[in-house]
Amino acid sequence: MSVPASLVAITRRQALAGLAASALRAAMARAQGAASARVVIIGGGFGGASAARTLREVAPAIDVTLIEPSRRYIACPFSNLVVGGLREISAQGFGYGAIAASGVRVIEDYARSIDPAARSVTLESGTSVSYDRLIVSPGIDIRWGALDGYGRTAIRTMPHAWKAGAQTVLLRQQLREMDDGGTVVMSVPPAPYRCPPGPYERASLIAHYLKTEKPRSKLIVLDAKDSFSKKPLFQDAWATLYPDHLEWRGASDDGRVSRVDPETRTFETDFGTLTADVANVIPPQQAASIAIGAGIADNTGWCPVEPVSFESTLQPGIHVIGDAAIMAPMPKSAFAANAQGKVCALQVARFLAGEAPAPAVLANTCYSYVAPEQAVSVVGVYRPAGDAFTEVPGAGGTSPLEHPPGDREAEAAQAAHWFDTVTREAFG
Amino acid sequence: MIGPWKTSAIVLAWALAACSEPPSPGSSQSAETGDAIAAPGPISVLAASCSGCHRAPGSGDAIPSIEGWNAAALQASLTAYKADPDGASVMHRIARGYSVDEMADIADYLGAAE
Repeated sequence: MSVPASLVAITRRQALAGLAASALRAAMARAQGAASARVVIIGGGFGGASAARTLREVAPAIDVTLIEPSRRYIACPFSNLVVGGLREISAQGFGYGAIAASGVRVIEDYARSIDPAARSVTLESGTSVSYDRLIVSPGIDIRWGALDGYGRTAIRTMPHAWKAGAQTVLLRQQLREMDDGGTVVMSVPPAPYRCPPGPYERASLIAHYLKTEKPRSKLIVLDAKDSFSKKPLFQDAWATLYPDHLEWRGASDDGRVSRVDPETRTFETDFGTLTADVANVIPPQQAASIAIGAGIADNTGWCPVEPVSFESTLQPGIHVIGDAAIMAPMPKSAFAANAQGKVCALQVARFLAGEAPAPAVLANTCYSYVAPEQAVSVVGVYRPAGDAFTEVPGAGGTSPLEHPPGDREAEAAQAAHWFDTVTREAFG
Repeated sequence: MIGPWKTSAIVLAWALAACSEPPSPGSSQSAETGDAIAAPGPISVLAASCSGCHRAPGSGDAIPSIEGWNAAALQASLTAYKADPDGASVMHRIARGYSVDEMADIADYLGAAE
């Protein structure tokens, strides 16, 4: 996880030299009748899939390869509805057929390592894939051991359900099997983590399930923070909808979990312990292991990038997008990953055409359900400023706390519409 | 609804200009045969976020479709969102993050795509 001392941040001059070098390499290859410029993408989530399809649309002369070990992608947005019993997991799955049909070479394999000097990716199968530009969109891994007691086997009795799929279904099943009168406990880590408002959407939908199906039961949320995304909106909804079924404890109310015991489903805080009938641990996270191994993550466990083309500041020729990258104040969301994937693809095509990247403005919207037909949202608009992003002042913000009738319902309909549109854009 | 891409000409010429050697006849021929990569225009980068919500007609009309809108209509709508101080919808909150000039460029770009 630590970065070798030799890997100092690249300078702008080096970046420009890299720009010229990669365009030149691609141009020379074509001039010599060799294969066209090659872009390899690691990870077929919202970021990688969007980048792959955008590249095919804008630059058909570029040879695009997508490396993704799963045959189907299981989307995290809307998976809290599955946890809450309001949606089937099958509605979360997306294949790669349309991406392959568009001319992307889809390799169903796990990217094991990256050699930045040789510009190649080695797969689990042992074969290597060469690139002129690499886009890394691998998502998150659990930071095992960062929460005392939470190791790889803990996920059976204390599912995280923070990567959608089997874990999502397991948490839902445990909620279903719980007797009425039970206690559900969820723990929330310190920032940064995937989907900042996600824990609170999940809390809302679990509380809704308990209220409607197991009314003598209760959810207790133990949070390592005192404030969180859309807090006033969530707390307003909780007070109105779930006063008897949801209790949130922040850091200053002994909410910070210091240890868990998967055998007994027990959460330890500074001043007490709490044993759950159903336990959901949202654990500390970091960039996926491929990024750590490639030396593109810093000592925070996340990948620093420059904010125009998302090129790594640690390894030239490698772009990092999505949850693995440090894009703050832009959140780690599917919406942001989709926007970053498109912008990154456009900038990479510009690089390979010999053009400098163009100024980018990125927007993000995160919808969160607070009940089956009610949602709230937070918006941000972001511009590069120096070596990071800045949120445009006066823009963005949350849904209003005081709202006209129908406002929450309208945003729930927009959320569903967005999911439909963005998954079609990313996966076809 | 991404595209069409305003082709900013040169590709090989720029790359080879960075090299001390003169362009070879083979390389310029390669550019003429269409193998070269056309650089996507800068407005495509500026407008990249829009299509996550507005790309295709989705299910229902919760998010308005912009399919078939011309540039003037798009620009009028975007600037109206930006100018409305009381608006609290998602689009109001997004519109305040863009300048009027950027909106004109985006409207031209997306409108022209029809």
